[in-house]
Amino acid sequence: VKLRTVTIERFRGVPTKLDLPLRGKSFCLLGENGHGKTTIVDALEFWSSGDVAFYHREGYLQDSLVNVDAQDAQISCETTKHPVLTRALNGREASDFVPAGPLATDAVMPTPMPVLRHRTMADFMGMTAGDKRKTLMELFGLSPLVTFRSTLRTASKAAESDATDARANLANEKAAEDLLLQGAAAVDAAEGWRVLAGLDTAIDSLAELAGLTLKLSPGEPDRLGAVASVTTMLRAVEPGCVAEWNKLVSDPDVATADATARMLDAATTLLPLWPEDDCPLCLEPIDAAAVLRQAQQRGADAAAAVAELNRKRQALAKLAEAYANLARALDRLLAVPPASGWPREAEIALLRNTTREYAASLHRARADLDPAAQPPDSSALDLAALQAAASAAAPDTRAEALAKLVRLRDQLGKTAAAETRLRGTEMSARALAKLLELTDAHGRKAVEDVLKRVGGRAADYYSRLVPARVYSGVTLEYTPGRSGGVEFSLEFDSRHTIKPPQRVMSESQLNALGLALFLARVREEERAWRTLILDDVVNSFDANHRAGLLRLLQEEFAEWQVLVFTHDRVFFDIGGRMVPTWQFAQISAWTPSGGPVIVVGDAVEQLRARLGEGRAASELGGLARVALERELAVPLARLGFPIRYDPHGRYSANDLLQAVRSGLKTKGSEIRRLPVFGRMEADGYLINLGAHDRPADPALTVDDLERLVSDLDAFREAFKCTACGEPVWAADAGSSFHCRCTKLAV
Amino acid sequence: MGTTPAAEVVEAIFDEAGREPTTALVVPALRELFERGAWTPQEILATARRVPTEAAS
Repeated sequence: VKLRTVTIERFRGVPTKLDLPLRGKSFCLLGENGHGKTTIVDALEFWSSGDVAFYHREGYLQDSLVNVDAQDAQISCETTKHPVLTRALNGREASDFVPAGPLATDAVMPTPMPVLRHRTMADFMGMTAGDKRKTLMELFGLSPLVTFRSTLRTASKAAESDATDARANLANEKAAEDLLLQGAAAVDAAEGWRVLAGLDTAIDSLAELAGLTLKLSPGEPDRLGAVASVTTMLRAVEPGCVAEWNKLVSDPDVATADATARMLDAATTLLPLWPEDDCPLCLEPIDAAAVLRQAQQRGADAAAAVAELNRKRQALAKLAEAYANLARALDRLLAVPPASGWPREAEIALLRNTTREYAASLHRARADLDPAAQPPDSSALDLAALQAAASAAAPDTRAEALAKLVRLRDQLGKTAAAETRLRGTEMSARALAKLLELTDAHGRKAVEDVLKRVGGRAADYYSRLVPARVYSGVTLEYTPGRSGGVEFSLEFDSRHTIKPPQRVMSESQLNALGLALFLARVREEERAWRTLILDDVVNSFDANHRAGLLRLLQEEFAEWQVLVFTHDRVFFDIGGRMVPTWQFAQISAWTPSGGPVIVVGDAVEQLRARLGEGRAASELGGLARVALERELAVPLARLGFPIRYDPHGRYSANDLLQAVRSGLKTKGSEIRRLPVFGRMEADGYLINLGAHDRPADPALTVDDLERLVSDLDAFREAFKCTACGEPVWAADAGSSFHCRCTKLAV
Repeated sequence: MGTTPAAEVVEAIFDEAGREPTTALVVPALRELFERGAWTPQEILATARRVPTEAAS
């Protein structure tokens, strides 16, 4: 697809309408800064992409794309494959393509055409490796991947933070649950209660406990009261056990046993040492063996008594402990409000019997140790009395137990929700992290593929753009890092490997490298477009680079329509000689009300025609300057005369005229003596039209311009042979030129 | 307008992530989100949260 026609209306620097009749050909437009070159480039980029994002990147508002005096803009282009397609910009809204007539149903809308701007290239070369990678991805249509990754990354971070919150939340809920349940022991206790209460379902999880508690409800105060009574009774018994134990510690039998042990010890040690046969106390003869036997017997009896006593003590302690456990279990059971039908009478009876059995065995154990002890007060086992005593406390206990259960139920619900949330957030975070990891891996591979495709071609182009180079072995390298980067690497003077190139390369060389990469990319990618736009890319190029670029475009882009926008007159002139198949045009002037004035073809003829139409001199100043400069530049370019160097290539008409005269003088040509040179030098139009940085002098008259046209005719004729009619540069004889018949020579 | 290079890469990413047993549940919903053009961090997060919750209930 190539561009045939372009019409720009009310867009940026075009206040009314501008037509570019491209006819599918390559085109070089020379124009000064501020004369609307970039307006045309922006218009084409906007038309082809429908996007003003490229403009945003430069920090402008979208509105600034519409001319300051207009409300809307529109660009219409005809391509070699499409009828006129119009894209409008209304305020901030860009329309889709609107065809001028019926569009074939299988017609494919062109994708954005490749545009390279000087600033894009310069910015690219100045970027870090990471930013180069991003930009390269953009160039190769992978920028949605950058957006994809960045969006995913934000979400992934948020998901990870979600999961962390969920983990903390679950830990909090569990801690709260533990507090309420007093740990897993509560489950065991509940199982104990169940067994005790004779329930026929097992409790083996917190959930079941919760389920069980949910079935319970207050409403049966009598039964609850009965359970409360048993507990209170047990509590009353328990302190008695403790007192019993304390009493046992000071039992006289224990003292007897101790005394007996000491006697035995004394008898065993002292009797063999006594020298007399009589006892020192009773004076009876001593049968030492009998005494020893007696003592031993007494000792054995005492030891047996102590052992028996200890056994009974342990049995009592066990009983007391079992009793205490039973008391605690019933206490907890009481904390559970009763459900309808639970605890049942049978269960209450079971509790009562169990309690009685415990109480009786405790009593027996105590009586065994101390026969004088009174049996426990039977009223302690009087359920009715205990029930009455406990009933006052029962409502509080019930309420407390119920509140505890409600809290427990809620807490179990919260914990379960927290667990679900954690599972969910972890799953989300995992999925997003995995996607991110895969995005990085695939993104890396995509960039590597791009490098593989484009790197070699870019190096080749660079070597052709900069023929006499000290840098060789140019490669594009991918650096796998945190997010990866792309950087040029090259050899300096075949001795050092340099990376990044900014270390050694001049701005112009860097731009050449950037341009090589861009052109390589245009050739590599599959786009329908065969139109390529270069905006001011030769800015810092010297003559070698400019010629290199023209050659490269001629050789590699012969099938393409290349649109070059430049303010570089030297490039424009060299181009005119090197690529005659291109069209060359110049923006002769720009005015706020009329926009850019483009001169295509013979400017002198156009000026003559406009004067013939009776146009005012004030309208024709720009065209007149272009006509004058172009005519003066022709012999300079054709005959290769030198001109003083101007870094911006901005030469006034006077500079050009002096360079022509000086060149002719050096060659000893008599052409310079023709009267037209004197007339032109003396005429005011040379000064009036000479300056590039201000509009033509308002004092310029139609007479001035008619004189100019007549002088330019004479100037042109001055270089033509009067015999053969050919120009003096018709034949190039190395160091000189001559016409076809050789009569005229320089 | 055909498939862009980036769309091909994104497709491959979703394909691969969808085969992972640990991520297979969430990925189809995210893919649908992307294809709908609702690919914003907020939407992604909301979808990634919603899917496991629905699956759990």
